[in-house]
Amino acid sequence: MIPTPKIRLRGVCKSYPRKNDVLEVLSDVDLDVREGEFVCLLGPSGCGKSTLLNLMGGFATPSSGTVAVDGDAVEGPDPRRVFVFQEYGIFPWATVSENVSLGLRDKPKAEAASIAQKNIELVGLQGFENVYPSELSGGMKQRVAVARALAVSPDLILMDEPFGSLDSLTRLTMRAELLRIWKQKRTTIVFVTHDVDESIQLAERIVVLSQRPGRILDVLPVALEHPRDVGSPEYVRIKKRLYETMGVRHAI
Amino acid sequence: MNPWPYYVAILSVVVFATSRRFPRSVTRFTLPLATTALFLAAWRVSCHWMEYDLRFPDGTIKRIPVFPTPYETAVAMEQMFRDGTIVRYTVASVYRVAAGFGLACLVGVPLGLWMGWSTRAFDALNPLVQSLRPISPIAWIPLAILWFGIKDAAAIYLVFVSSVFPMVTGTMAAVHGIPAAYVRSAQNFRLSGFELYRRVLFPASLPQIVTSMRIALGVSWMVIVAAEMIAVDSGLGYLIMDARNANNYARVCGGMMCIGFVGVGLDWCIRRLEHLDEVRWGLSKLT
Repeated sequence: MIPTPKIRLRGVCKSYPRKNDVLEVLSDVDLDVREGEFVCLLGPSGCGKSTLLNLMGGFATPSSGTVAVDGDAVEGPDPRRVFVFQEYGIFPWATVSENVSLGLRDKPKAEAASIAQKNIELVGLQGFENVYPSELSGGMKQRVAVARALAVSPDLILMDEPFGSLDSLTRLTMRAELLRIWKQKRTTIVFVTHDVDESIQLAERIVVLSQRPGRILDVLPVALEHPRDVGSPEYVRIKKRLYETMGVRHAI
Repeated sequence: MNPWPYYVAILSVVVFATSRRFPRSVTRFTLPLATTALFLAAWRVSCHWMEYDLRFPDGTIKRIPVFPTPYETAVAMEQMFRDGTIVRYTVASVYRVAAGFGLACLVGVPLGLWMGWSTRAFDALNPLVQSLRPISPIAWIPLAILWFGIKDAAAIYLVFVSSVFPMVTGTMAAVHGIPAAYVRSAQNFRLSGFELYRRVLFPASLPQIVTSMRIALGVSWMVIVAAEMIAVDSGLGYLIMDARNANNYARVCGGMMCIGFVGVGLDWCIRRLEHLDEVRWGLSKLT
């Protein structure tokens, strides 16, 4: 028996009405994501990859087609599917531990505190529990966002260019950290990026989207062991193929 | 006239002109002092210019002062301070502002949060709020007296009317300006009802709410003076009207200065709020 995929998208279209016409953002997207898989959605800016993620998170509904998680149609946001935003995700008026505890309000106090603490330690922020986000660097803020997401033990983490506003060195560290955590937790992750290297370094499978209206151009498995060597022939082959698929010349 | 105002004015200008040569630690004291001195000097000189000669039928000429000098004003203030008038009237005015403004915050902030979040509340209430808002608080004076009489309540009501609309509008705008990701995070973790207001909408709006409070309190303080001139028989506004009727312009000016000082004090108090952790995060870009 084939197990139901974690996420199943069938014939998903999304369009927004505009003054005189209709803006078509996604066109006929079919996609399955397996339980525990790390999938990257790669595409140029404005190709609808964030829209696709919003559909999975329940923040938008498709114009046609179906979005299902665990076989059930998505009908709005749910703490089982946690979103991590590029910026403004965590609350600047709350301390690190208050932020991480956001999804633990229903739990008894002691239990919530211990879960929060465990996740703060998991992302390496011990000692910063009572600090406000304004005192943290960009990378540390995103660690808080990841800890807040993990604290509710979600089935699915949806990340919308979470490292997009970080400097390039911090970005590398954060990728390594994310992989470390993913290997430990094996939570299904859908990760949106426009960075080709980021997708090859992180994903088990890369889904390449076209220019608007976004459709799936290619689905590429990355069969490389971590840590992935950016100079290895396979890495370079994948990179070339991604650039070709997206119609961009990579040698400049 | 004594020539000292001219000397003081020249000295002030010298302080301004040479201020570049001194470090900020010096000029932050000397510049405001020089401005104050120049202001007082200009005041004194203008008093002299406004004096005129009155000729009596018997041929005698008398210099008539029109306007009180800084010194006469200071004497009048000192006198009013000693006989307790200023303290009593300041307390009366501040009490009315505190009551009216406090009431306006208690009503305006929840209402603004609600109208900012719920589109149906916005659709229902915004036309009414926006139509009442441009009505000057002064225009409410006849109704306030009709309803409450020449009593504290009338003045408190006028302060309330003057500050509740800035509070509602400011809070509502703050909610509308909350970044989408905060709201989505809240939805993602199933915050709703009171918890949504307490954990996200209110704290996210708080920095702007404090800014609105600062503006509303400033307006309140201006309105109370006007209200007290007509609607009650105590307070700093009443003091000014009373002194005018007694043709005592030194007291009028003394009362005005008092209003200015208390206004600065009130603003200082509300600015303390900006130093709270809950507020500072939203203002850090400004400081």
